Formats: sequence, C-alpha cells, structure tokens
Amino acid sequence: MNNEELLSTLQGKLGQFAVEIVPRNPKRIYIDVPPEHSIAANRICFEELQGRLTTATGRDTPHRIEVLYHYCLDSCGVVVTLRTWAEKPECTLDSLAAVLPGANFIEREIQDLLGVKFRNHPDPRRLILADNWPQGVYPLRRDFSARRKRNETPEFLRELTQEVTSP
Amino acid sequence: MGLKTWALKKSIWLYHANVGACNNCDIEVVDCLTPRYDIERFGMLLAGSPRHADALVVTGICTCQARPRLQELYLQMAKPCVVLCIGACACTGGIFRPCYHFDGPVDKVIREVDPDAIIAYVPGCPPKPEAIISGALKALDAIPC
Amino acid sequence: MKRTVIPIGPFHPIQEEPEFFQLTVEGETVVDVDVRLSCNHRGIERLCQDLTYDQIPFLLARICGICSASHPMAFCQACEDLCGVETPPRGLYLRSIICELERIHSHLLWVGLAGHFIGYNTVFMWAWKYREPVLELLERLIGNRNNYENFCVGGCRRDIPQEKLPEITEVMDEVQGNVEMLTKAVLDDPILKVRLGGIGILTYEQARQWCATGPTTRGSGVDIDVRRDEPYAAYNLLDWQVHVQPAGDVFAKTVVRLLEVLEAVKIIRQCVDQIEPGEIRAEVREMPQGEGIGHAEAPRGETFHYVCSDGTNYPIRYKVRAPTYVNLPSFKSSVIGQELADAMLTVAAMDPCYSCTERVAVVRNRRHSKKEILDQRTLMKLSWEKTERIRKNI
Repeated sequence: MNNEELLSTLQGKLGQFAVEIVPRNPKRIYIDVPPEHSIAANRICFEELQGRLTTATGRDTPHRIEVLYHYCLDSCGVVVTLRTWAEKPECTLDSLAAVLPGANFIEREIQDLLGVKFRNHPDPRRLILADNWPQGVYPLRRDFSARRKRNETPEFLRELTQEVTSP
Repeated sequence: MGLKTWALKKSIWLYHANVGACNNCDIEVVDCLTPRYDIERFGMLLAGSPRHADALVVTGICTCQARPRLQELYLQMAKPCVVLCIGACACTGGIFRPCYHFDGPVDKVIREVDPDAIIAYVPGCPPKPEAIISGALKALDAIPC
Repeated sequence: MKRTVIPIGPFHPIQEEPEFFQLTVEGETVVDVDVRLSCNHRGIERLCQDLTYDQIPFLLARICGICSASHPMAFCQACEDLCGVETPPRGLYLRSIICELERIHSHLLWVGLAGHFIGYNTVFMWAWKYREPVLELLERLIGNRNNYENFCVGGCRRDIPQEKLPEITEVMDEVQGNVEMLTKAVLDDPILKVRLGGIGILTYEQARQWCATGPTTRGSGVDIDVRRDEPYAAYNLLDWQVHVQPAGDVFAKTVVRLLEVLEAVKIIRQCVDQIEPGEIRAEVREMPQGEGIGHAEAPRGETFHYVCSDGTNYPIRYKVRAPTYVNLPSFKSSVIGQELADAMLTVAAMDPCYSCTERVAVVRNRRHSKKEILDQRTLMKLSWEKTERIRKNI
C-alpha cells in the first residue's frame, strides 16, 4: 500500500470520527479523535487496518490530558497515532483494555503516572508506583516538581504520605 | 580471629539483589561466575537464599518499592556479613539521583537497620568483573578480626 | 482442587521492571498469573524532561544494560524524525554494526540462561564463554563492555578507525564457528526438543492480541521486524532475512534466536565490507517544535520512543516503551495451563534479563499468611527434575 492509498483508506475508515488527519511525513500520521469515538477508532485501527498497538503516551497540557495511541502498520512501516483527550478536572476516558488486552498495562501506567481514570478497565490496580506512594500525587503532571534538592527525596515522600493519609 | 569470622572468610557465598538497576551490573556479576572470570576458584558461589549467604551483592538505586524489601533481605542474612554495592547507582544513586522514585542510596538504607554494617563500594558503570572480584576480596580484608 | 498461591519475586527484574509474580496453582498446574511491577521503576521519563537532547542518550543507555544500543538508537531516530536530519552513510553503518554486536551478545546470554533453567549448565557456560569475545571487541571499539553511548542525534559520537575493522571480522569468524556448533548441538539434541517443544505456547492470534514483539512473536509465526518493515541505520542496504517459526513454543523461540545470531554475523560482515570513510555525524542546529516517533528492533523486540518538543533544549514529554513491557503480559496466555516446572522456563523464554535467577519470597506476616513459599532453588529443582525424567525416558 503506498502513501496516498493509505491516506485515502484512513480518510474513508476514520473520517467519520476524526477531527483532523495530519500526515507529518510519509511515515508518521497523526489523527485527532474526540474521546467519545476513541474506542471505535481504535478498534478500526486494530481490526480492520491490522495495526499493532505499540503503546500509548499520556501527555499533560494545561486544560486536558492527551492520550496518544500509537499503532504500527507493519505491512507498510507507518506509525499511525490516534490522539484523544480527557478534560480536566475529571480526567476520565473509556478503557481500551476491555476490548484489546494489549492495552491493559499501559492504561494502568497512565492511570498511575497521570491520574487518568479509565472507565470499565478490567483490572484498575496500581502497577508502576510503589505501595507507599501517596494517593493523588501524579509524577508526570505539570504541577509535580521533580527538581528537588538532592537529599530531600525520602523525606519529601514521607511528608506527602502523611499529608494525604492523615484525615 | 573468632570462629565466625574465620568461617566467613573461608568461602563466601553471595546473594544478589537487584533493587532498581539497569541489568548492566547484574550481567557483570553473573559474568564473574562464567569460565572467563570464574570466581568459584575463590570459593564464591551465588546462593539461592539470603539465609545461606555471607555477602549481599546489591545493584541499583534502591527505589521506593524496593527499600523495605532490601532492609528485610539484610535482616534475614546471618551475621556477620558483608554488603557489596556494585556500580555507581548502588554507591550514590548515580545518574538516577534526581528521580522521584529514588529512595536510597543503598548504604543509607542498610545503615538504617544496622549502623555497623560492613559496606564495600565498587564504583563504575558498570564495573568490570575484575573490579567486582577485587572489591569482594577487599571487603573480606576489611572485616575486623 | 485446592488452590495455592505461589509468590515469586520481587527480586526478579525484567528489563527495567523487576516484577512480582503470583502464580495460582491447582496441584501442579498453573491456573492464574498476576504481575506487579514497581521495584525497578525509576522515573526515567520524568528525568528526561530535565535533561537536554545531548544528555538524554547517556541516560537512555542505562534504561537497560543489555539494550544499551537500541534505546539511544530509537531516541536518535525520534529526534531525527522531529528535525528532519539525515545521518551520513558511515554513521548508519556504524549504528548497524553496534546494534548487531549487541544482538549477538544478548541472544547468547539468553541461550545460556535457558540452558541453566533446564539443568543444562554446560550450555550456560559455553554460551557465556562464546559471548565474551564480543564484549571484549566492544570494549576495544567503543571503550566499554556494556554501555556503548556511541549514538547522538544526527549520527555517532566516535568513529571506529578503518584499521580496526579487520578485528571485527576476526571476532566474527570465531563467533560464527562457535554459534554454528551450538545451534547444531541444540537442534540435534533429542532431550532439548522434548523438553522445550510444546511448552509455553503463544499462538499467532494471542501474540496479536497482546501486541507482543520481537523473537517472542517471531516464534509464533508473526512476521514482523522493524529492521525490515521500516528500515533504519543501514539495514535496507544489506542482504539479510527475518527468521520466523510457526510453532509458538519455547523451542521455536530458541531456534529463532540462534538463527538471528548467525544472521547478525552476516549483517556485520557486510557492514565491514561496505563501510566507506566519511562523516559520521550531521550537524543539528535546533530542535523545532513538534512531535517525533522512532522505533528500533532491540534484541528482545521493538523499542518505541516518542518525543514532544516545544522548541527549547529540553523535551516537554518523552515516552519510552521497552519490548518486555508488551511481551510480559502475554504470559497470561502462555503460562496458564502449564506445569509449575515449566512456568519458570516459559517466563524465561521471553528473554527477561539475567536477574531471573534471583528470586526470593519476602513474606512478612508469616503467621497470618497461608501462602506457600518456593524459592529459586526449589523452582529450579522442579525444572531440573523434569529434564532428568525426560532424559531417562528417551
């Protein structure tokens, strides 16, 4: 499949959901999909285009948290990225893991690191962060300060834990 | 020299714990076991359980999650014992020191449960197997008789 | 039947994630498996946001000590995708040489460990002995046995002098002879065929569902390889092929890995023949605003990197996906229904890094806990006993 054919296929299959289809270069295509259509669009990428869900990236922006699902179309070596978003402050999205088991881990990771809640996730336990990590502190959010003084780390965490757990 | 120290110095068994390393130091530790370096000629063996080991070989930065487990491991070991910090991460935290999940370094974590622990440091990223062997032997020499 | 929960870990890292397995068994059969990551979570993605584009490759080499060429490679490709820089041909060949040397020593490491798990310690010692010349070659070429740090955005940092190229060929001759012998020994061994065949099966459909990559899927008949599907470095200028085995069991994965070592030797020889003197690095003046994606085929599968830039020296979001992250969940398909003696081998078949030999169950409240504890030695013994049984029956 050459690039024009792929673009017209994408336009035909995903055009009904997509806000915008941007080919940044022949090998990298970015598609913006509103949250209500994200599952339908993901299913088309996986089932009809035979894409392989490589991973998902969560990205914090001032007003919303973007979640980018990256699909590799291995037959033509193109990476298609579906960009959807969760509005702050609720930050909820429909879970893809219920449909595609390969999305299980990555959605749990995004939930840990960015605080996006995935509706209907089959197994929404904590995956990446430590057991004693305080609830409600998301290290990849913009307001989390990673530039701390070097010797502060353990105390910093312990203080936070006390703040959150004490009533 | 007491009986316990004499016995410890004869043939030390190692227990290897990775508390958040990149595997580089770990494969170098295993490399010591293979024919090229062969630390078994010094009577050193990798033990399957900390209770059987004389030296705790620690690699990695000690993450928040690993911290209580590392302390538990140290407490399970028969004393006297030696702690070997392999690699820059275990010695100081290294390149990962500013990370949010860093809760070490290893010596600080171990000293919290035993202020008199004997700790040897083998710096390097990763240290060569020769350096690890030399570190282990120097740690043995440092045990007070 | 009574169900028992067996905790394995957490001192059992797989790539950058050591993990805590809980196997639920009925008698000897595994009926459920649960994984908890965290011990090795260091927060590299966050740390990258505080480093400049020149500093990041050094950090990424330390994501995984064994894939320390593939991660910087994927990062450099993501940045090159973002700023549209073309690497000069010599830089591309150098990248291929280092990536393939890494693949050779990583796969030999795996073969050794797999041998160790089934009680073939001879294979362990042999494979690790054959791997040593490759590490020494890397030390002579790059300056370090494991962390190569030779890649930067736009090309390579250090050149391999022309007069050192024959050394590579010499070592390749040695490796090829040894690996051919090892491959033959493994393929002809009736015990290995029975012991490894038919266990830990991951079917084509399951591999697709779990989105697995690398030799784990190529052993299940899924024909994917980033080196061919989206050629990077010098792979499109060379003559080589992707090895696929349809069976999906541990034996198939072993065969794929051994054949890939021989293929890597072939690739390196061609690189040494074709490489010509010239520039190794293109100049990168600035990072434009935007997003870039790069992926590369590490020994364990595809590494995937995403970088988002706002035009400054620091990325505003950086995402790393290591191959084990997608291969790991596929255990849910391959381990369930196995005998306990095979569980460890199935776990190992996906090539988790070395430290799977270190396992300990730390159970604090022993009085209140009804969990059965199996340490590394017991698990290993189970596996060795099964090999012994098969050996006697043949």
